Amino acid sequence: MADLFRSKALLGGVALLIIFIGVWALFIVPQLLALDDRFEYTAELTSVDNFYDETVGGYLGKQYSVTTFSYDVIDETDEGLVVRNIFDVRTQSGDPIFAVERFYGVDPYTHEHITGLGDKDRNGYLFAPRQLEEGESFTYWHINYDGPAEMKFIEEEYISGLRVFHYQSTYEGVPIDQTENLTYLPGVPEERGIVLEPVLDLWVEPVTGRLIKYQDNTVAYYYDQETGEKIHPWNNFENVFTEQSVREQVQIAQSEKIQFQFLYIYVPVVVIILFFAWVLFISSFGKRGREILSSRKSAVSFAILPIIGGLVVLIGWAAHIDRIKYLLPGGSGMNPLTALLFSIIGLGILAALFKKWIYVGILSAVVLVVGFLQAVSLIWFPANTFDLFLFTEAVEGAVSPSRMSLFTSVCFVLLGGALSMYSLVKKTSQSLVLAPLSVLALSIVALIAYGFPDLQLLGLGIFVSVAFHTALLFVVCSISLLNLFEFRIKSSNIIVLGTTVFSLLLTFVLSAYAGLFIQQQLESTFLVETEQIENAILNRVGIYASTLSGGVGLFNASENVERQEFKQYVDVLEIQRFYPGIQGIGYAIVVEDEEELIESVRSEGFSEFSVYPESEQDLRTSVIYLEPFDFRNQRAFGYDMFSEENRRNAMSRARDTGVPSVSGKVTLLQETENDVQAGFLMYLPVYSGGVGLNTVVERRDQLEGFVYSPFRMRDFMEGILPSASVSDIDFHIYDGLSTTEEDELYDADNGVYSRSEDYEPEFVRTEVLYVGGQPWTVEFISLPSFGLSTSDRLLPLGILLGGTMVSLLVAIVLYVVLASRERIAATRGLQLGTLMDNLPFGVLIEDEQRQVVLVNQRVVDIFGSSSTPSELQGVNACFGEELLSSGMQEKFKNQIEHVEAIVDAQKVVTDEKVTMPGGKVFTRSYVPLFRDGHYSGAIWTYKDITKQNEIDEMKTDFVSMVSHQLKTPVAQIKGYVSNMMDGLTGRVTKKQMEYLEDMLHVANQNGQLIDDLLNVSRIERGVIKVDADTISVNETIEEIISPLVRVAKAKGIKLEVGKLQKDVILKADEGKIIESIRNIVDNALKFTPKGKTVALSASDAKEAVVITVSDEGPGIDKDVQTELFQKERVWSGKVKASGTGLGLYLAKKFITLQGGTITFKTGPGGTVFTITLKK
Amino acid sequence: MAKLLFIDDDTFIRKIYSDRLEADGFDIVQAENGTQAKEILEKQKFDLMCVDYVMTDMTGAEFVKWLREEKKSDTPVVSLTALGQDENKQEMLDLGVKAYVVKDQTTPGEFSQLLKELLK
Repeated sequence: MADLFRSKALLGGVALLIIFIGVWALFIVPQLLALDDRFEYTAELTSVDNFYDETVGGYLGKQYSVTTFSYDVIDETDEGLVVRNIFDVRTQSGDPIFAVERFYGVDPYTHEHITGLGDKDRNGYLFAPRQLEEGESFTYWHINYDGPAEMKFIEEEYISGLRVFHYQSTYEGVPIDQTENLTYLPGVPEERGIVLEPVLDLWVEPVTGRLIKYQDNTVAYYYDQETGEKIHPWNNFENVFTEQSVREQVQIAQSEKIQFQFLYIYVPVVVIILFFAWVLFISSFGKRGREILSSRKSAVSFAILPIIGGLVVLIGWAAHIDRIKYLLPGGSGMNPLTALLFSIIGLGILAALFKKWIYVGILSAVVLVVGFLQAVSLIWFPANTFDLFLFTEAVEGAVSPSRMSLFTSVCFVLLGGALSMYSLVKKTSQSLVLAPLSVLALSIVALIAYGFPDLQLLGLGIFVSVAFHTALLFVVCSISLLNLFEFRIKSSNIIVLGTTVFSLLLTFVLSAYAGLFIQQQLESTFLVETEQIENAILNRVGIYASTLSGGVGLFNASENVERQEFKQYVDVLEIQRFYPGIQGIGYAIVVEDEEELIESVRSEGFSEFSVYPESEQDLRTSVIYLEPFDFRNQRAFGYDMFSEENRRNAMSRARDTGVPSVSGKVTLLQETENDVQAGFLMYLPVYSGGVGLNTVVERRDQLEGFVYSPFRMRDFMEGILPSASVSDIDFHIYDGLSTTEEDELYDADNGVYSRSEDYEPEFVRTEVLYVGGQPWTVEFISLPSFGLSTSDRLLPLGILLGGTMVSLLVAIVLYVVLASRERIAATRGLQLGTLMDNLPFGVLIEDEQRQVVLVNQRVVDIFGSSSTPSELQGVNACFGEELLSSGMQEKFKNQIEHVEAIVDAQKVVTDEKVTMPGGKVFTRSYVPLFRDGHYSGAIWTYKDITKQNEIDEMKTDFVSMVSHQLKTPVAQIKGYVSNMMDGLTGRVTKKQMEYLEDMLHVANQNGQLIDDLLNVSRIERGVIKVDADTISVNETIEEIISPLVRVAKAKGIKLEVGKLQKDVILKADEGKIIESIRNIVDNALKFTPKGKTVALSASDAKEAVVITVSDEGPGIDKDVQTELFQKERVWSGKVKASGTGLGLYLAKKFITLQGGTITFKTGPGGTVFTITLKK
Repeated sequence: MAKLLFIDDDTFIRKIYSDRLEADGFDIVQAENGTQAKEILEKQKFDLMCVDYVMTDMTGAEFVKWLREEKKSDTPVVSLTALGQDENKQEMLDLGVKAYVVKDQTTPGEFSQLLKELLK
């Protein structure tokens, strides 16, 4: 793996990476992000109609209806998708008013319309193109107008924190004819058509092109089909997304946007990071990889990254360049303080690399202190955080999350603290590594969590709130610090780290799921409870309306309803008891003749009665009955409600539609100065012709008056709420569609939370209720207490805390166990290593795969390897480059083949002499290891005998020199004696001859002694060799005996020789056999007294030839028997008889060297030597 | 009359063997060492050579090698040496000497006999 950086593997990997990213971005992501048949889009709109009454010559007033605006896929073809778009308008009670549906052909990748698919050829977008640039325009087809709207860029806006582009179109040059769709209207299409003049506004999320909101305001005109002239307006209508729908769309768009960025940006970035992390990880095992990792160059470049990252963001802030401060990837701005601290810590690490300790100390202290101050201020002074203090303008002005988060602060405290410590102690330690290690783990979790925005839940938001690039720079910083602290990956580290990260992730995911589950539960609880409130409101309004209906019935039933009758009706209802909030029930009469009315009422005893105030309106009304006729209600007596706009609108609507109508927000006349409440009124018209009128004109003609009720809003609501159950939900009721304070009708908590800007409710829901034709916008806000009673609420946090504790506990236990095991192994390894290193020879243990299990330093030295023994573990034992220096490899080729042959044979090899290319000489032994009968490896030993070899060579030289020097005199004496005996010097007398023979004998014995000594020395040096040849046994016996015959004769001993009856041919070293047996026979002759017999006989056994030499001597002494064949016997001076005494030792050596044996039996009657010679 | 070059660095050995061989009718020329033998060989030719193994300037083997390879002479050689070691014996036999005789295991008479046999 060391070769990774030299080889083409890295290059290939990078090429693959580039190909992957290309394929990913160009083919896979578009496929993943493509629209499919699951696509759905639903939004609810409030539609407001204001119809024009041609008979009256004016608009009739706003009518509210509810519209569902939706898209879904109905077909998937090869060319694209067929998307259905529905615009369905219904009354407040759900009756259909108007619906239209259209079919678009849509390209699933670009969202462009496809011609030839759908109900009509269009040339725009489903919503808008993706990746919109500021100012870029596009064409949109709105269902209502079904013409190309050229959407013009207006401005960038933020809706609930989401960046959106606002577009507008007035359909310039595109006449929008709605005649076809509105044929049910009178006169359409016979003589008239309908043309629209819309103003359409869209709000689009620019990355995904999703429609967040639209609003249109359109005047529809009748026009003459012949002349094309506009006749008069038909309707002025507008449609706008409900706040609830906008909120939902923002949420979906946020998810989609993150998904988009995740796939396009984060995945490639993470893959690149993982790739390089893998390269570093792998290479950290190899020697060269370690060098690269710890090299100054890579460490410096790693430290420079956060400096550059931080500076770039700071430049963005200083120069107001959004693109830079919302540094890619991420899109959320990096806090300027965060950016500054990244630069500082980067500089600190850099300074540490160059050992400028003073700078390291200062820089790291700054990071530590600032991080700490920010964390403290975040917890205790959330309104005045430290970053706000330093970068007021930037932090306040930023739109996206701008405060430096607690997560970021803590990470900086950890990193700054660790670096400070390092600058003080100037050396690395195990605990110092923990800080960057935990920052690394946290940042990785944050990076992963970023891809799953749905995890932004209880307790986990801390991870999700970290911007992607912030987490990325933390990863870089912590790796950089780990590098500085010389943190090396050990296998036990990996196990502990892996297990901890895995269990933390598991905890994290479980906690997130629990949070998600509880969140969903709470959300549905919230929905159910808020719907209960809505229903309660609507029910009460319905019930109260029916009391008015009763009043209308009263008027319809009798010609004239007297004050007393009306009072009786109201008394029966017992409104104060059964209808809380209702101020009373009254009757306002249409004033035909004001004076007559005043007179009539005054005649009933109300002398002060008058109709007030003065009014310009064409209709004048007066409250004549209002029961209970108490102090408060008397204040409204005679009042003309039609004179006031809010009341008038409701009264007109009631008059024209005949149904109960509720007014907008008013302050009731009944209010005194104390406890002023918002109020509203409800009207029901009384017609002279009773019910069943059809046209507005008829209704206006026959209007007699209104039965009505004034309501004080708070009183009205208090009766509704089942108090306790909804105490943790606050809600506001607004008159109309806006939620401004001036339109507020009711605030359930008197503004405790809703007025506080810091309060961020967990759940919010806005709903438009239609109360007597009047829209009430109800905004529900969950209070801090909401859901707290649910003990489950603590589950995610519990899981998170418990899981984290268990994870840490497991990590600690695992660490301790592994560390102790490692320590034991290390001790054992140390002992073994010490043993191995102290062995006087090289040991290499290999497994059955020929991988090195263990080697000692001596082996490393022998082979000239540049690695250490521990680094060689696991490398190929077959003289790979790790083991054998490359120079030696070529010269060692033959050896490699030879070694392989040894391994294949799996037989013990002992002390094989190996001459290394360098000239060193070793003896090598091979011991195969077997486990359960299977070959499981082998032990090789290499013993350096270079010195010994040199000594041996010197010894050989010495011995040959000595033998030459010693043997020459023997030869000289023998030569002189022999020449004399041969008569070369003249005649020799008998006595002279006897002397000469003795001299010759002495010389011979001396020669023999020298030969024996030489042989012993050769045996010891291991240079003696068996010179096997084919020999005849009988001939050999002849050779043995021939020189001895004379000796035996001289001693008067009978020498019997028994040859084989059938000669045998052996493969043996004849000289050595002759010498051995001759020695034995010679010995026998020495010890046998005169007249006795020495016998040599041969016999043919099955697998050997057996030769026995027997004598009739006195036998061998007991104390000599055991060491008869040992040379030490000679050195210790135990040999008494003449001769060297080395004969038996050499005989034994020579015979056994050839695979034979030599034994003896001895007793007082003589000794028998038995020699077997292998056939 | 066989002409024999007897090479041996030991004066006594040369004397012992020359005496005996001349008595047996050989025409003996003596050389003290290999260098001297080479010089003699420049001028004279021999029927047989008798060479020691251990000499002051070269070994018997080196001399035979020179004789065969440089001098290109195929004059039969007998090795007469004080050494009885197998390895020397083998080396000489490999070089094609007619006999390998160890001085202390033979007598001048036996040696003379051997030479006569060889020259037949």
